[in-house]
Order: sequence, then structure tokens, then C-alpha cells
Amino acid sequence: MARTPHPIRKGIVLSAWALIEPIVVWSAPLLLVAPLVFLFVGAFTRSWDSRGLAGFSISGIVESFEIVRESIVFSWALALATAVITTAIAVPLAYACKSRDNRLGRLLTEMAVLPVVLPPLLLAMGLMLAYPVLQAGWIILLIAHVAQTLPFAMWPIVAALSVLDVATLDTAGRTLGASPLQRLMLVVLPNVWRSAATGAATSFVLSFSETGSSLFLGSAHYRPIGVVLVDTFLNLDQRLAAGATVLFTVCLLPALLLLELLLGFGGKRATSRTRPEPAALLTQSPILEPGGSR
Amino acid sequence: MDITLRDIRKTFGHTDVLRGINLTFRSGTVTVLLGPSGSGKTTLLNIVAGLVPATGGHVLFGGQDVTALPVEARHIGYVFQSHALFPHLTAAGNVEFPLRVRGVGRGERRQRARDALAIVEMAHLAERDVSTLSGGQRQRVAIARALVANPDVLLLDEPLSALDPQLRDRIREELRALLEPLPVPVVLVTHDQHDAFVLADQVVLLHGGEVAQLGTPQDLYLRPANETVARFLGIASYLADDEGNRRLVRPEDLELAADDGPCDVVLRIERVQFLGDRQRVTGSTPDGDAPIIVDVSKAARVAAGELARFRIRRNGRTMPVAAQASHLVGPGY
Repeated sequence: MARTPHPIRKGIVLSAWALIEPIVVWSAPLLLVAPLVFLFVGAFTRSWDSRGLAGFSISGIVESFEIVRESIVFSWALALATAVITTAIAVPLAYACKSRDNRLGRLLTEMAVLPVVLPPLLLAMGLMLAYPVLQAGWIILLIAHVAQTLPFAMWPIVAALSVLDVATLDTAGRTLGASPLQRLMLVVLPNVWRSAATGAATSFVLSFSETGSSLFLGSAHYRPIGVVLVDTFLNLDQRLAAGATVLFTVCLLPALLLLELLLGFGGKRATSRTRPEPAALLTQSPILEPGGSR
Repeated sequence: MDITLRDIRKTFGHTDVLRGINLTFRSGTVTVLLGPSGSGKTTLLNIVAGLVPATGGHVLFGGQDVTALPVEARHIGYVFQSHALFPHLTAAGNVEFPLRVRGVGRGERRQRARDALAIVEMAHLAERDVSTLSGGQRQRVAIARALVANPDVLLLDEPLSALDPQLRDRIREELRALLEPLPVPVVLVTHDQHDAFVLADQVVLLHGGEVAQLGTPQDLYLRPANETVARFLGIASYLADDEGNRRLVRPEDLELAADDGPCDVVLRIERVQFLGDRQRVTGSTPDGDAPIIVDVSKAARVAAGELARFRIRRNGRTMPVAAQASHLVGPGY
């Protein structure tokens, strides 16, 4: 028989937990946010050396903008292309995986996840060896980014398709005379577009901030912003590095906001589907609705 | 247009699921494929639809061999057990779908969808999100969607199995009224004999991948081809008469005989179950043959361990099956 804890001891434990809980809950986010705050403060500082931070100035931002300007434009274009291509591949691939509930479908799903377990440096080296003709160009960077972000674009779509029971809907489409393309466009896509958009936004963010393979595959002409950030940090110019970080974050904000909006909207929609409004429940009643039947 | 199946066979691995099925589904007739789990009824339906390829044999739609045609090209209507309505479309949008993929103009498909929904008495809910519809309403939308493009055959896979028993009774009647006037062959799969009897013009009882019996519901219930069919379609007991014939006895075929009147059989009662509207008596003949199950009125005085005298009802149907020792007794026993 379990022993009942003494009331006083139980009270002490609860009080102690009340004190510790905020520290436990907030310490992890603070540890993540603190460096970012520090960099933001540093970016707007006149001098930053061994004596510490001093004065307010936007010259750090202006100077770092000159350094990262071209990289920002290139990274935006690269991330955008990555998001578009990844999504264009992820939707039919996820559809193919989920509509085939067999060994081939599972194999396709596993193959698509492979880039997650493969270190970016290895991927970059492999691409350089496999496609030497593409070295120093932007195409090899695009291939690397698409390969790395594909699983992250696929996962939300696969999850949405699992909830949807896409295999049955696909079969229903077939019995109604729809071709594979019609089923993809008229049945699958309208049901997973939010997940596809979430995947696209995730791909954009991951591509924009990617450094692992870009360090290997980038060139003087095609330098993603991640590579420039690493350069500025390696050059030990902390003020410029902080300024570049601020610009980097500002450039990412639209994609992050879009992601947040999509996730929030998708969550609300899912809740409303699983928990109908009380009014909807009333109208479903066979007693209140003589024409209907349950 | 009639649908003909010629020597349909299907093998999964080393298992023969269907062994040479020959059937014809006639226009304006509701055929129910009935059978226990694993009898091959859903596989047969899916072979007609083109969702599952047959290992051998031919499927003919009005004389045209469609065996090699994919489901998209067969022009069928299929109602899924789960209804499989598209969740992003309204009821009308779902019904318009087969017309949309066939390139029918917007105006015409809206009108035809409205007409189809009106047939299933759902026109007033045409613009409703399908996720807000009840099970019965979703089923009607699914039927309208399956019928709107004038298919050559309507196939329904276990349409009532997802419903609770009370609703099931009502929806069964509604479904019968919907299917009865359709001018195409209707093929419906169920494992429930009540569904089959209410909905079917003809019943195909499948067992072990073969047609165990084909006929009207009355044929199957009153004149089952063998014991397997008889037992699948309800409680079946057997009595043997003086000529050595085994006679099928349904629970409703026997009634308690008056104390001073004639009787046909005497049972030693082993168990009495109260079922609300009646009592179910399980007993055996004096020489202890297989149990005989009889339904008696809820007010009848019967108790386990007693002997009870029964008469075969005058309208009770019995059938000779095979020679056995006599347990039927003559009048005045």
C-alpha cells in the first residue's frame, strides 16, 4: 500500500516547486534569447572591444550592410528558389509515399529523410565529387539546399496526408474518373496547401540560414549570407558581426512571421474540425432537423 | 446495361480468395454480396470496380469486356464504407466533382449536382461543409456523387456498417427507397443478413471464395442450399423425421403446444434467455441430439430442466436436408 506523504512535507515540496518552476521553464528560452539580445545591443554600439560596449551608433549596421548587401540578395533568391523547388518536389513525393501504403511507399519516405542524417559537409563533398562541372556555381548550392530542406518540407505534408486518409480519398477520386494529375490538383493539393506552405516557409528559413554545405560550395561570386556571417565572426570584428546578425534576422523575419501565421491558422482550423461549434452540433440532431438523418 | 462476371478468380499469394465466380447483375436490380469475413465479397466488388485486378476471368459491362480497363475508365459509381467525401468541398462541390473531371461546364454541373442532391433529399444542405453533416447525410451525398455522372453500375461497400443499430434501421429503409428506382445494376456488400434481406432483390451468398447460393432473400432463408447457408442466415436447428429426412427448424418455426393438444416434438429445456420481446429456449430431444433453439413469447412459462411440448407452426417452413435418426414425434405424443 502506498504511503501518503505528510501534509507539511507535501506543502514544502509544492512551495519549493512554485519557486523553481519559473526558473526551469524560462531558463532554456532565456539561454537562447540572451546571445541574440547581446548581439542586437552590440550592433548599435559605437565601440566594442576588450573594455566592453560603449556609446550608441548605427554605423555598425551601415558598415555591415555594405558587407552583406550582395549576399542578402543572393541568399533571398537562393532561399526562394529552394522553397519553390522543394515544395514542388515534396507535394507529389509525399502524395506518392502516402497513396502507396506498401514497401515502395515506405522506402520513398525513408529515402527522402536521408539528408537529415547525412552531415551537410558530407553532402557538399559528395556533390563536389559527383558534379565537378558545377563547382563554384549557384546550381550546386541550390541542389545542396534542396536536398537538405526536402525532408522538412515533406514532413508537414506527410502528416497532413496521414490525417486526411489520402489513400481512400485518392481511390474515391479514381472511382469518380479523375486522372492522377486531377487527383493531385483537385483532391490532394487543396487539402494540404497549408502544410505545403508551412514546409515552404521552413525550407526558406533553413536555406537562408544554411552554412554547413555553403562553406564548401560557396564561391567569391555566390556567397550565401551564412558564409559571410562566419567570415565576419572569424575576422573577430564583433561589432560588424553583430550588425550582420541583425540584418540577417531582419531578412528572415517575414518568413518567420509567415510560418507563425500558417502554424497558428492551421492549429485553429484543426481544432475547429475536431471540435464542432455547439450550434453545429445542434443542427446535426435528427430531432431538430426533420429532413436529415444521422 | 447488365454486368456479367465470367469465371472470376483471385489469388493473394498462395490463397485462393475467389474461385471461379459466374454472376450477372441486372439493371434495376439490387444485388447484395453477403458473406462472412474473408469470403471474398469486397474483393469481388473491387474487381467489378477495377480497383483490384482479377487473377483470371472476365468482367463485362453490357457485353463489353472491361477487365483490362482501369477504374478511371470504367464509368462506375462507388460508395465507400467511410463515404470518402472530399473534406475541402461542400456537399454540392463533392457532387460536382465527377462532372468537373469530365470537363462539364460550370453551369451544367451545378444544375446536375442540385438535381442529384434533390433526389437524395439533400438540396437544402448543398452548400454545407461536409464535415458538418451527419453520417446519414454524408451517405446521401456520397450516393448523389456516385450517381451524378450516370454510371453504368452503382457499387456500395458496407454502406451501413459505420452506423449505430438504431440509426441503421432507419437508414436501411431510406437506402432501400433510394436504390429501388435506379435504372442501373446496384451491387452492395454487407456481412449483415438483415441489411441483405431489406435491401436486396437478389442475394449472392459467398463462402470460401465461391457462390454458396444465389437467390431472393426468401429463397436463401427458407430454402437454404446447405447447412452453411442456413446457419449463416440465422439460427438453424435440425430435426429428423420418420422418413429419415433432416428438417431445418428456425426459432420461429416451433410454438409451445397446448397441454391437452397434439404436439410434434418434446424438448428438455437446457437454457432460457430473456430477450425483451421474447424468450429464447435452448433444448434437446430426449435422445440428446444437437441443441434445438426455439423462440417463445415473453410470457410463456418455461424453465431449465423441464420438458416442453412444441408444435411446428402451420406456416412454419421446414426442409429436408439429409437422412438422420427420427426425433420428430407424431401427433398426440
